[in-house]
Amino acid sequence: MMPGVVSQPVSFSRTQCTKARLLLAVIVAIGVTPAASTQPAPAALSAGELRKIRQQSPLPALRADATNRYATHPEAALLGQQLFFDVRFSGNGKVSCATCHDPQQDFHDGKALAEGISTMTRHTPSLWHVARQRWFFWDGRSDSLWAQALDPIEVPGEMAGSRTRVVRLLRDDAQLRRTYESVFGSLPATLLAPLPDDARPAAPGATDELTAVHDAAWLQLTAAQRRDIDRTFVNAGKAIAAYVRRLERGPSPFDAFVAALVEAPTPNNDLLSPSAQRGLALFNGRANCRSCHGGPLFSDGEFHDTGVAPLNGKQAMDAGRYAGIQRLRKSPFTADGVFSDERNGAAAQRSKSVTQTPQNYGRFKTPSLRNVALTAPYMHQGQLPTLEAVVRFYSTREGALPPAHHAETILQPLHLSDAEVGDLVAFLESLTGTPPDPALLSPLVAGTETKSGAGPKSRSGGSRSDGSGSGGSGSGGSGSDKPRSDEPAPGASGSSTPRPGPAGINAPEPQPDSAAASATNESPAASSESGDSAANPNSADSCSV
Amino acid sequence: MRRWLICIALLPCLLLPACAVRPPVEFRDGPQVTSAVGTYQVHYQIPDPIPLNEPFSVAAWIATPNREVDLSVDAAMPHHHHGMNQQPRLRRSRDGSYTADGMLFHMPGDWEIYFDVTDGAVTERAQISVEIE
Repeated sequence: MMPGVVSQPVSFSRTQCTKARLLLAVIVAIGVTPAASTQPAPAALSAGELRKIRQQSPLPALRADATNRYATHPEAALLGQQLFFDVRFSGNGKVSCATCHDPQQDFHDGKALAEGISTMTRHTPSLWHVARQRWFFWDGRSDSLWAQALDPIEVPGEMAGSRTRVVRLLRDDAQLRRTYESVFGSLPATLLAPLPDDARPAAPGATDELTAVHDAAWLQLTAAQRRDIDRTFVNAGKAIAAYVRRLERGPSPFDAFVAALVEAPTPNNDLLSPSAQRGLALFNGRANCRSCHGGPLFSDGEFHDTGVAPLNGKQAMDAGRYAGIQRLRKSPFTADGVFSDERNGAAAQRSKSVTQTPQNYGRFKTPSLRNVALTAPYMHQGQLPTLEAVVRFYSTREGALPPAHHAETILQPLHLSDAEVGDLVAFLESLTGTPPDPALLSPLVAGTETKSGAGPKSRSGGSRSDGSGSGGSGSGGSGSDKPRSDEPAPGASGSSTPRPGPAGINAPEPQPDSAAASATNESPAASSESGDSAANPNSADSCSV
Repeated sequence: MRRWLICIALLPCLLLPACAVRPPVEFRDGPQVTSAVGTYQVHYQIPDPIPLNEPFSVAAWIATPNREVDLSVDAAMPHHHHGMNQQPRLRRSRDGSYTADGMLFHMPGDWEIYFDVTDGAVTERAQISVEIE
């Protein structure tokens, strides 16, 4: 029986008994045993239990991202979906976002550590519902989804690409350029001149040879080129974010269970098994998982030190959130930076006011538990292979690092029985939502194989020349790529007729991005962009969000 | 006679200087807490209930003995040995009240909200406890 459940004496009238006998006779006659017959009878939940459960479902409508005025722009999402699967942004032409965030594996890779161009030091988390997060990456070093999308492109171990490689592709691939310019306006004239294959500013602390080469090329560019390259690079990130924002699964069995509870506070065993219900009671009760995994996303969105030992068995050396805040503060791509479309909004204020303390050392972001059964292995280095292993880790604390002075004091052994471990796992498995539109799971155009063989497909056919681009009408751009007066308003379908896309792309979102629609027409490009906007140090970090 | 009446009327204010200024209307019937040594009476307003993992604001007005003081507002989970992950932003209104924006309790459980009143080199704390479900 679940904690807080009060058993009620039951009595039946003669009529009820007669009906029950008749029902039993029918059941025996047709040889069917109702599944509920072996389950404990549903009982009412306490008011406190109900309040907690209702905090966890349903998922509310996705909030607007005012830092990205293109977040709900259909064609921006279309472009983002193309870019997401495109391996040409990587230094070796073999790695795309989808390499680690594989749609066929629920937008992760199933590996303990991410493998881009080389093996990274952290695990790739899934992208389901990622737009609902307030911080991105395990260490929260990005405060917007569009900024997150830019980071892996330039990390030598991940994609080893550069912002000029992105710009050149957008310029020289005729189809990409058409789509880009339909959303963001003509490419500025400064980008029509020859550009180096790879140029980017060195990130603070980066000392590798590749970064030195890219940085030297970056310094050869004019200030105007650097400014316009940065703006175009950011626009690519905003397009990718517009696509990734759509990666949401539907309601889970747990959501259906809670929806029924709203109607009547008696648990429905058909919607959620008794084992999962017991797991839910543990989750919100004695095991106190909800302390960190609270709310409808099953995450507090913040950072904790779980004490899980690093993969190599040595003392944890990953600074986690501590370094994440440092990198956030040095990044030009932030919610309060010049590339943001709302520099004084909630996200910007959050970044400005984030506190840096020694306690942040070794802390990592609390992952969402929605769809968690689909995304093994677990923890920030994939240390634990199964959900059962995770539950047992928190139950026994075996293998945990000795508590440091800044460890979470609430993590004490739970001493769960095997049955209770199974109940918690059953509950976690009930958080798997229905699949999204299949059109979101693949590149937009089939039949153009990528160079990575079994990897994601991408569009091809664009010129790779360093010349003046392959056609297009963008010559002599204004240099400012803010939405023009004759451009479609963000969130609108655009002045040009959108090409037919997958249903998931052109379908309106449940909640229009009103903030984006009301965004100012200020041109960040016209403000004080330095051009020296190195965002990502050359660390062996993963592209995990 | 009239002069005497005025003096009698003002007498309580001389005895209780902290009451010389009445709080703004929105604080008059609300909760208040006394600082640790009893120097200040902090009138405050918090959401009821305080939302879990959502930003909220705390308003405060301090009864002071007719002198300028500084206020800071913060919060922590004493049992968890940690505070908030954001520093709230404090603004002062014309009526002398303060509002701390950007408060965020990211975890359920017991929290303490601190009103630290500083007069010169001396800081005195008033605090309240709240439980977040």
